[in-house]
Amino acid sequence: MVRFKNRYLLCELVLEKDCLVYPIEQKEVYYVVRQAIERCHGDYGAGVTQGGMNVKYLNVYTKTVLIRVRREYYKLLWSSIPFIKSIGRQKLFFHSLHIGGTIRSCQKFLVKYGQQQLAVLLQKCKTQEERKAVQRATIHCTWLKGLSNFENVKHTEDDDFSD
Amino acid sequence: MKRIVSKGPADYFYLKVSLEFTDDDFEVDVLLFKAIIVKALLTMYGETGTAMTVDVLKYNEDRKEAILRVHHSGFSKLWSALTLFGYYSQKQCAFRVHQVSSCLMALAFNSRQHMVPVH
Repeated sequence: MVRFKNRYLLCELVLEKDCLVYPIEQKEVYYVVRQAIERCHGDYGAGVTQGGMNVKYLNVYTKTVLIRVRREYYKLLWSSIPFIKSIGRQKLFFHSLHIGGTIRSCQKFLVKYGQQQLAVLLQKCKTQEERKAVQRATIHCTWLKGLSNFENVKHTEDDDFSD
Repeated sequence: MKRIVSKGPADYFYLKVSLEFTDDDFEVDVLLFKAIIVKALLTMYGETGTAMTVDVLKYNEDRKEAILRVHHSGFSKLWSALTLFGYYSQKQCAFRVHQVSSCLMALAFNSRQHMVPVH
């Protein structure tokens, strides 16, 4: 069966000065990744990844990037990503999280990753308010997960979890 | 049923190459020759291309001819990079690959360039 098979690389942007929103466009991410592949893998790498590469999703609030690449050449992209040091004047690096075959599998991973990160954040909380907010978010996540597993169970929403 | 056991690819491949310039006066010493090979790998395969070890075993400065040794994993990359290398410092040049073998002894003789003395 003739079908182009892809790999989706899920990355997190880690900025030098962590500000809430930094205006980065998908175009800029694309050019920076192209440059990195050209530097690490030369004309061959640039030519071979150019056809199927695309920045599918970019969220500057959560700083997640999803890059698509052809399945045969995903290692070229994966190995060039650590060499990116800045986009424009903003210094940052790409923290690669997951490589999936479909966007849906990357989204599933992102949900699990978010829950794990909440547990890490809970340990880093400094004030009581922050701790309560993180706990509420964690409970909400696990409640939503439980709800999706047992669809027929009825819950009264805010009874148990109001603080 | 015959059982075939393979030893795998040879460890190293040896290439006899010569570098040709349109302007024959341009002198290339062995260090510059190695630098040109590395530049060819850099343009074609980037920094991962330059990471492969290419050894210049013998170099003939008059004819700009050399015997190179490369690990089998980098062999096709080296040959393709040398083939597609066209310019060095605004001068047109070309790598001619005369012989290739996994055994160095095979490069001792070349039936194409062998001159039979005619009396």
